[in-house]
Amino acid sequence: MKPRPIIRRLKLYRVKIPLRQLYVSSMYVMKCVFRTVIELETDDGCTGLGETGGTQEVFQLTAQMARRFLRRDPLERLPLQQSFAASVFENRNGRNGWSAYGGLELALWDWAGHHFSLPACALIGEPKREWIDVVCPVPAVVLDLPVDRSALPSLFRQHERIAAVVEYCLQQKRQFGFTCFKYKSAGIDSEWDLRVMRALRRSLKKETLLRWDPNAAYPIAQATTLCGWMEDLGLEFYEDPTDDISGMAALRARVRTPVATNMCVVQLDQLASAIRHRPADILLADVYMWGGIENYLTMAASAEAYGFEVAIHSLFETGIGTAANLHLAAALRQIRRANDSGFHILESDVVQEGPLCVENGRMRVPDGPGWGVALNVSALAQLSVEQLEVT
Amino acid sequence: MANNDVEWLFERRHASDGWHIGRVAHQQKEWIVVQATSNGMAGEAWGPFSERLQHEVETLLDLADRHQERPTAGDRGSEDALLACGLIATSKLELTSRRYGVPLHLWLGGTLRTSVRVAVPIVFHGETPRRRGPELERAEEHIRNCHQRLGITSFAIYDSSPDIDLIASSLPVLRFEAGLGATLTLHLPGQFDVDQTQRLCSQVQDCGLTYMADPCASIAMAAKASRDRLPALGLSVWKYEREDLLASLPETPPAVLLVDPLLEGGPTAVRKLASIARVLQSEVCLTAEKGGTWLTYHCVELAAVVPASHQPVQLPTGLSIEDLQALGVRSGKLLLPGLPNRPALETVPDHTDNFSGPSPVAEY
Repeated sequence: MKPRPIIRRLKLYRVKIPLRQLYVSSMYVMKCVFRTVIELETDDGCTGLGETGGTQEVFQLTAQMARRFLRRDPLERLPLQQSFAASVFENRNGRNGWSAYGGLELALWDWAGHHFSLPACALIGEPKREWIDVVCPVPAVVLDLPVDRSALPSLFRQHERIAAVVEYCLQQKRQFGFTCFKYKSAGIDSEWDLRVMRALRRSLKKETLLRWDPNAAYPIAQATTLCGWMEDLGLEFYEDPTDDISGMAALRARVRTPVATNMCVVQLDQLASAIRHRPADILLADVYMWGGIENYLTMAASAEAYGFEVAIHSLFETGIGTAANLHLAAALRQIRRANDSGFHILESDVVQEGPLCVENGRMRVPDGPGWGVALNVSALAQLSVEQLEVT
Repeated sequence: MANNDVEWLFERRHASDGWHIGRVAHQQKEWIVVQATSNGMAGEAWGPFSERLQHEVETLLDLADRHQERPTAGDRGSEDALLACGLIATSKLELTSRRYGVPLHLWLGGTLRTSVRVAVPIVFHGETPRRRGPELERAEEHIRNCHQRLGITSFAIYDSSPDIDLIASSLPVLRFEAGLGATLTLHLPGQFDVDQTQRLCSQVQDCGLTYMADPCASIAMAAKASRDRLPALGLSVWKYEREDLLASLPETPPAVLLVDPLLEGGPTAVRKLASIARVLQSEVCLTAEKGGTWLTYHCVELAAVVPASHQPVQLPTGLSIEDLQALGVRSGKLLLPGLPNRPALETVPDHTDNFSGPSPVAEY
């Protein structure tokens, strides 16, 4: 029997990518995004690409974990996962640990796609869709230059700035044809939030879907009141209006509009509690944060059995993560809502141009093996702020 | 097994791909073999032959032939309909893994276990102490032989007696023979009500049973009866309405879910259920109780890749020591890399009637 390929090298790149639009939310004010790009190579020369968050901590954890992958068969995903997180306790780094593993696991799937000459969506499930709707993220306030967070409250008192937020959405709609927008609330001023959501609802056609996401910045009573005021706006959903499973469950019980989360249910060990307490209607999951595709599938199976919808969350992935999200949406029949995506806001990318673009508010699932994208070596070199090779 | 041992019953061909259904005799039983084939390669799955099952498989393949929506194991119907779904899905996935040149367990994500413990069924039919005596003696001897000759330390006791005292008095004898370190489980056909089950629990709580499966006719009764008591509860998932099972898992999760991979609808369906079990902290026991050699090896392959499958794979009933040896059991386990080849049919049948039909390679 022919020996199976083994992993001989992993290259990690921490990249810094400028954004076309300053991103303002309750958690960040940022003009660029950091991501970790992973290139895995086996002894037969076959490669796979993965991606995860780009904080220093996740980059370092990914590097540590990558050492476990050396000399292993890249199809042995489950034992690799088991080797660092056999129990909840054993994963010493919680969400960051899963993020590190998730990025590496995505590279294993891309490798498998190249090895078998199959698109990743065909390995993950039974692909049904070629085009996936994507969501346009909308900054809390439109600014040209970053400001200190302490300056934000005074900006939100200037209600004339709401027009710029509306105009931003209309311009994005004209340029890319978006039919779904997510407003990133700063969670500072509920009056501003209410006014801006009303303005968006008035300006965008009724069929345009609107999401509101203050990243759990509002305390439970204030969040519930604010959601109550927004009930007549017909939003697609409220995303993390308040914090934690019990807070979200209490709020959800009092509103009609669906509630989504990518903050209080982000790991498998939180799912049992979510099933019992129902904090959300929609689990809006980042594939890397959940620890990769296998964990995502485990979550999706449980979600389907217990009446949760599943959708894809995003935080400005490069073309690698964006392609992975598209393949996942194509493969899983449970995913019906538009994918979050900040791809069109990236000023440059680490993958070669071509397969990824937003048209009529949708993106096509890239053809070809694996994720269907290839590295742009020179762009990667330009964007890298840190590199590491594990051999 | 040679192809001339097979009576081919049904064929649907599509260019070089096709589906075939055969009927074979193996180990004193008759089996239905569903083969998905492509370019001379075959993936197959074996189930216990019945004309009703044959009809169900043919109906599913004909539905696909007419491009009608096929039911899935999710649309849970009769046991034969579920089995038919499982046979088709399993043979198709096995064909896929062969086409891409990797064993099924590697195709499914790699091995968490390279060897899998097996549990030998011990079946009691006797309903009176007089008839139970000789049965118990034979059971003790079988346990002794299994332990001494094959290192088996897991035994699944099937007892259909309505007499609680009789069941409870048999278990200490079996525990004494098996030893303190052995895994003993008790499997009932749902013959007790809540009070009776609680009485049985009290009487057997010192026997060290890992779980007691299916004591009552419904999950609600079983959960109520076993709540906060030993032994823990096991549920054979195919015996209950799926809605009831899912509703019970978050509130009163049983310790163990017993899963027949074919009745569950094939490997993908097994992995979905096992995912739910993992999330809600139930273990999975894959069981070949209703099958033969083929299903045993398939259960072992799946147990190797299913994280929640901590329980030993249950072997088919009625196997002698010689059968267990022939199966390849060593030190109470089946080794994944050492699994003997499945009793696969030698060649793909070459009927040239050229039926048009759904390809197993394209979406079935």
